[in-house]
Amino acid sequence: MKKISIASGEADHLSFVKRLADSLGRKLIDNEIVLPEQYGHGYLKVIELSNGLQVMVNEYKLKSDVFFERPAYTTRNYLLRFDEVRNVESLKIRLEDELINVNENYYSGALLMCSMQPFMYKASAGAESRSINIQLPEKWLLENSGIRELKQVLEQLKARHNDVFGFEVLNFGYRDMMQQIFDLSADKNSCPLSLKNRIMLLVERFFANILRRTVHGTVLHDADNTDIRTITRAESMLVNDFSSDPPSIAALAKASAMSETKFKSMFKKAYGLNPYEYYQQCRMLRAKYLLHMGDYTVKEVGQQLGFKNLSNFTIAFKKAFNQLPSEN
Amino acid sequence: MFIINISQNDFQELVQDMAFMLGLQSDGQGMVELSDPVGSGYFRAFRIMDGLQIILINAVLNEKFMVCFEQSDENSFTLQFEDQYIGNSVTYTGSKPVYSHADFRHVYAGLSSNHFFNAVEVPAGRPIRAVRILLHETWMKKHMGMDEQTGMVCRYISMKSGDFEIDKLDVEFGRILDELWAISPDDPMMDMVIQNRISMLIERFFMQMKMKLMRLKDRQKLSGAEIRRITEVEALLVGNFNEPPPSIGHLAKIASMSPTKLKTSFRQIYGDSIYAYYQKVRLQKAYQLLKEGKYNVKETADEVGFSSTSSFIAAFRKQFAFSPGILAVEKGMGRLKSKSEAV
Repeated sequence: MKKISIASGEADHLSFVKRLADSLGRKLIDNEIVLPEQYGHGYLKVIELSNGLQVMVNEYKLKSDVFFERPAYTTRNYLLRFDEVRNVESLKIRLEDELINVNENYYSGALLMCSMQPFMYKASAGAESRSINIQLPEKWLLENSGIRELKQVLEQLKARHNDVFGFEVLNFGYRDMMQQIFDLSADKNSCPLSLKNRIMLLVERFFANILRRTVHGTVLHDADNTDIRTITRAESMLVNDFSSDPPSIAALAKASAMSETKFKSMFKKAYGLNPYEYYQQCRMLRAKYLLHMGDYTVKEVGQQLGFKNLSNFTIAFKKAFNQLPSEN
Repeated sequence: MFIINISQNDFQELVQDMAFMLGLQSDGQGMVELSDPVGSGYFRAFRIMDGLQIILINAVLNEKFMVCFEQSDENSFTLQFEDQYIGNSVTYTGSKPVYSHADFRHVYAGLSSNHFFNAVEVPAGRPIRAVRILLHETWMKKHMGMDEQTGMVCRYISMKSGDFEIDKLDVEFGRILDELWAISPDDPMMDMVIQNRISMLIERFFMQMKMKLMRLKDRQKLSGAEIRRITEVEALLVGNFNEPPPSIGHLAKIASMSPTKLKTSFRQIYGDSIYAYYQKVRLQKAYQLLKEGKYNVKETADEVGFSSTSSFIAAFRKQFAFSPGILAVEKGMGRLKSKSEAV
């Protein structure tokens, strides 16, 4: 077990990675830490956006069990995290009271949390983590974000004792945006405006959803809802591989230990679409992404996504985006 | 018809001036709602986070209306998006005078240097939906990254050659604009959504501009030395209007390239043919001279090398859609800013 403890200090991401680099004995280059060999493989990186926000992006695979902790910060910041973790035997993320304790092999979700809580993270060897962590100072949220009525929402949320709220499942819309952010942040020549726009779209989508739900009465707090987490795992199975036929509803329901009816209704509740529609949309978004990258021909993309003939692919694409794949 | 002359360094001021001239109330924050007899809809000017100035227009005017944007800071640019439907065409004048009517939804984007005079004519009774963004060269350099293509965009832009247009924008632009027009003022997310959409429009425009420039570059690669020689040709071409312009043959010799290569390369860099560019620049100069009020129309025509006043007037009208006499009439009135005339 590798233990990493970070001393108390400034609450911003940049100061944080500096302290983390010190405690790992690594140098910070371009605001990026490459994980030491004995911990695993991957990086953590802080990106400063032109609107003053700091974003921490990381992708890594752990080689040994890791325990990480940092003390509570004294200034109030909000952290909007988007996480996707695979192959975990055990993952614990603890804030004041234990919040996320994953013993399944998959966790994904978006969370808004307050930095005034001490933070503890324990993950087992083999875990693969990808996350985007956007720091939103309270002052920025209230004065510069361009979101009205947020004060009330934050007050309401602040009153909750665990200070973590607004869990969102990562649907393909979020996931697609996250993929673009990882790609852009890995590319040294990428346009800073593109990266900023993708990050701001994540923030927009998250708060639009939160506000919509707050307006309708209660704020959902599903982070420790086992059913929802089971569903997110089924979702990752569903959209894991497009080259072969998707798993049947029966298989997904079985893996989720639910009846088919319950599975379908839970899935729709979490993702807004039934599993097959969702699969199709996800597949099309993937197609668009691959075409946009420009490495494959239309035919190759169709094949990769399991279309047996090209015209079916073209029709499906046209239906989804109102344009032909060749126009992308 | 209303003609309004406006400087475009401060969009909020600009919208207030427009409101004042049209006899409308502005809320002091850059929002002007149109009401009868002027029309319906709104103009809204605001700044977004990185200091960019924006005007959103979503309106119908009852009377034909013309806005002339004065020359301003030569390192600033206006990025304009227009969104129009069948029969709703806004006719643009200025350096590219003709814009044909569309018979379906047509989204158009153009980047123009504020170094040049720029006029917008808005016909009566037709909906106009447009986004106007004031960009400074330093902003673009800071936010667009520094790869080779961006360098190319910046070089292109620093030529201050007037316009870069992207016609037939893809559906993605249409989708972003739809979201922009659809957002309700009651939505608490409104300001963030608007900022994000505008930021995406800018990003997409420059990405497409890069691609277009890359294609041009691939078709005919110009070396740094060739570009430099062409800028020398440009300086010579518009350096002295008292003498007839140098012949293409002469210019080609200076550029050490064939006349054909010079013509295509010139267009590639400046966006216009050599003669069209010459004409554009001297008419810009004429506009400036008339504005200063030192010369009358005939003298101005002489100054910029027209042998006959009537051909000058014709060329001027073609470029700016109004006669040079309008400016001459106003001479002695000092700066035209904040002055309007019902014509």
